[in-house]
Amino acid sequence: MSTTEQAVVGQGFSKWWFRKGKVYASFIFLILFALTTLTPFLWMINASMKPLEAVEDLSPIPTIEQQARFVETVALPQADPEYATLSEDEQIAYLFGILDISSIRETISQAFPDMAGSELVDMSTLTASLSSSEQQTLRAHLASTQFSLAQYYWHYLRRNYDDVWNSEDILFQRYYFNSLFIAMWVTLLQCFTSSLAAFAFARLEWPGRDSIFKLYLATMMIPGVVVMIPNYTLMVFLRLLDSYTGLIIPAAFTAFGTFLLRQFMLSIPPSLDEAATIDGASPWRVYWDVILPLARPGLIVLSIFTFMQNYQSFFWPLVLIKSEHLRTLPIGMLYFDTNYGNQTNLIMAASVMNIVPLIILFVLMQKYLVAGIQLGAVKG
Amino acid sequence: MTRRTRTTLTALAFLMPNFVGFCVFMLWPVVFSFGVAFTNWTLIRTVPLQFVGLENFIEMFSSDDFWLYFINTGYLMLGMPFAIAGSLFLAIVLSQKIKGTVVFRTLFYLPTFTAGVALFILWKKLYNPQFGPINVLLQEVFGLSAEQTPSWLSSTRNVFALAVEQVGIDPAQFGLGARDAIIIMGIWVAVGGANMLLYLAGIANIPRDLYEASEIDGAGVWGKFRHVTWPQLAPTTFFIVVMSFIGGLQGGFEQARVMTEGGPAGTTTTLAYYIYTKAFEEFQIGYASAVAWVLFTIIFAITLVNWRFGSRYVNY
Repeated sequence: MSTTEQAVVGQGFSKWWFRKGKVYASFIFLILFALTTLTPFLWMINASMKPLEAVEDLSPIPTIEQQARFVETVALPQADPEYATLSEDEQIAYLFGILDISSIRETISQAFPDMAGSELVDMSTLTASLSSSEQQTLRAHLASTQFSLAQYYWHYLRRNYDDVWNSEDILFQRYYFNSLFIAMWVTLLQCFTSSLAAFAFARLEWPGRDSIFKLYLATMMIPGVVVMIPNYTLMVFLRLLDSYTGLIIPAAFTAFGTFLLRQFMLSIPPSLDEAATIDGASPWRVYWDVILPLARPGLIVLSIFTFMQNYQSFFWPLVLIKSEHLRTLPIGMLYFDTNYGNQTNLIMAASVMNIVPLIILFVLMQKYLVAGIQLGAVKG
Repeated sequence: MTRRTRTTLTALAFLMPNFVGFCVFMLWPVVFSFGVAFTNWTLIRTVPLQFVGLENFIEMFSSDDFWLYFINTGYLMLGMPFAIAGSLFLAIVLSQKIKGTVVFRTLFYLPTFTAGVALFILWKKLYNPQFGPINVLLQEVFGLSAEQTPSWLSSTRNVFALAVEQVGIDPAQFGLGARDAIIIMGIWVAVGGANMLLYLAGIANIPRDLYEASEIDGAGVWGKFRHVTWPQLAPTTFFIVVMSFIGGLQGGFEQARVMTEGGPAGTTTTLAYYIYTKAFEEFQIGYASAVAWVLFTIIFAITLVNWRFGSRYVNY
């Protein structure tokens, strides 16, 4: 092997290592970044499955005292209803009764390290030799041996979510229904009217078409707050304050929907509707039977955007809705946080339930959504 | 009836349902709010409705509040370049041939997709100065005392030491406060969002032979980024910057309403939140419309400047 060949092989080798190294470094970076992104969500989920007293702890594993409290107030009374009726001494005796000798020894040496090795396993001699605070410590340690993390989280998960879902202070189910109901109606109306208008803009020739389309485009730059105020006064005038209609109708017409669907429809070859027209199809048939099925990806993208935007919509329901039973989820969450803000575990449970439909929607529709975002930007 | 008239009528029939709604809820409001901006209209009918000329605008520009909220709006937009640079970096890393790209993309997009009141309440809890996990972490991991950790959403401090109440600099205000907290949260929300997806699409469209050619010319990782990726992505970057400006100028409303109620001392009140309080808490429709139109004018001007200035650097 000549020296030049060696140099080339050497270079290739180091290049190979460089590539490999870059891939591994990127992979590690991506994992770390994903963790950073997820940490707030993980904290939210964890907090939603904890008792209020443990919410401030960073560690997902409760302290010995919290474990013991859970075992004594929840786990043992559940397993044996008699436990709650026992006196303190009897409870210690009960705990001794359900544990075997070796685990009692271990527990004692944990609770009182200086007692380790001594042969004090007779319950009455042991308790007699301890002060009352030491007895408490012993009891906590004995009880915590019965602790199960899965049972703990399962218990508080059910309790917190049930507390929110069936709360008497807030009408959580109602908020949920309102949000889904309004978002669905807006999505339906938006898809229907936008696709009709997009059909007129993309598939039909008529005078003034381009100037009206430019008008649509121009309004996309106008900030929402500019039109919110007149729309509010319009709702006052039409007596639609505090009603589903007032929430749904103004949200159902956007220039964006028409614009997005027009983009999709422009990419459908014109020969298709020409052929259908020659076969005697009316414009409505062309729209309904030819263009709409082909524009399906566009309709899906618009539906996802519209649904998610209106499900999370905040400003409009905030100013429009006064009665409690018409509040949507974001508004309900806002008042829940304002009035019961210190119940962090319940608020986090409500937040999790709030975003679950969005996550399901996103995971199912990811493919369309990514394409749609990238297409929506191609207006140059 | 000629064929031409018939098609026109058909087209109008298709357009009508959307166009009526568009006129009632979009065009008319714009015209209406422009007119209202020159009146003293309030929903509390104590004063007779009057045309007041430029009075609303004069009152606005001579009030310290307006300028403070104007600065706040700009301050909150300072996270933009970091978020955009982060999106670009993530997109570059994700465009390599790595397993699980789709999984990472999904995870990174999660905050953008779920952003809303629920996430803002979550961050309010995270930022709690006494019990929030961020300060607990700072205390436990970095050994800071409770006084050394930032008060986040309840603090008027900021990294530029901007004074509160009047426009100026006050060294005592140096630190991390409510506005910085909102910026950090904003970056977390936006960095893996739509901008990253746009950059991913942009990178996928760069012709491979440009990289091969630059490799033959001896370009390293930085050289390839500097001379191929960055110039090729210029249209994408330009689009993202314009859209971020438009979004940023009208932003900050939900954060202010949910997390801080505009405080402390008005430091998180943006123009959008100011308009909301004027219109829907004080019912001064005329004045609020005037502020809304100033906001619109700023957005319009900045978009124009962006197009003129930006298109020089974009070679398609």
